[in-house]
Amino acid sequence: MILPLPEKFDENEWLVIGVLMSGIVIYKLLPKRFPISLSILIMIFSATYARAFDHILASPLLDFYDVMDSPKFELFGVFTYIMYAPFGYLFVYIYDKFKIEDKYIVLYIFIWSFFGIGFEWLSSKCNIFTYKHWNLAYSFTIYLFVQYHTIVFFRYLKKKYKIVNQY
Amino acid sequence: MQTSIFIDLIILSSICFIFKKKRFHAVQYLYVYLIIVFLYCSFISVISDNLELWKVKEQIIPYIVFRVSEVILFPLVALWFIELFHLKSNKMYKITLISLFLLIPVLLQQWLVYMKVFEYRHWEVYKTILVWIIFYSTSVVTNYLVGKHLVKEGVINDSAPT
Repeated sequence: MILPLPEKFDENEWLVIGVLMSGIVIYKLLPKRFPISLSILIMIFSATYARAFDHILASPLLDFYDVMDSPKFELFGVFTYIMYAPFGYLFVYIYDKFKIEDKYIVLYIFIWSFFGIGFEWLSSKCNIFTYKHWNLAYSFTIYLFVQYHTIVFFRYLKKKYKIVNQY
Repeated sequence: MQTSIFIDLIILSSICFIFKKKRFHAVQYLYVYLIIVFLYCSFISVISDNLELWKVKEQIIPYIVFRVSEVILFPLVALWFIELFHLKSNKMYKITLISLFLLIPVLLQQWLVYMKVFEYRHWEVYKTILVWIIFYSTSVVTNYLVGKHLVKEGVINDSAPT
């Protein structure tokens, strides 16, 4: 099977579906703040970052953890990465909406990283992640790194969008 | 020695691309890059982890070389392709370019195999060509659609190439 289906349709698949649905609802309910191309790009950035990190960390040789039911790359594994997209969007949305000042960025990233490991703890309880040589402290470091990059990426995009069109 | 030359190539081609005068808006390149990274990483997972058609050497240096080529070098090839694809509208130019760019991933993979970074198991070169036809098509279509959308949003002018 190219992309294996779930061995058993249980809590991890339901959590992924639930989070994806919630993400879509949140995106629909929030007042539009950015051009749609920017919103989608932020979401693709978050999904791709998660995909690349998991690909490097969960592949054989390092093999720090498994995603979903087996060490293989599953169909629901793809949805797991798409699940990160609304989080990235919300992270940037709140950052922009409340115009988080530079002096508070560290605190903002810190709070989101705690939220991230909270969600990851829930994910590991629901068997989305099965840790082998990994723990939440490492994830916290990854979240700090990724969220810092998301802010840098967003600021870069804002500059690029402002050249012709002020939004 | 071979692996360091390969990494040097990745760094130099990245620098060349970053400092080159660009034809399209930065957002178009970012879309193509991120989508290709996502697809290429997923493709490698399917090929090497699920189907075991490729075997990546389980040593740290080959592993790093392979991963860096996945997230930087091969997506960069796709970016170079869309950049050069629209350079001329001449049919002969486009055919030559496509042929050349179908050869590039094949040669790069052969180089990685030669360096024993990974090995093929039940994999033929024509499959690499087929896969890259999909990647290049995805890149061109993504670039085109994003360009059109950016014009609609007023981020780039009507006259800008899409």
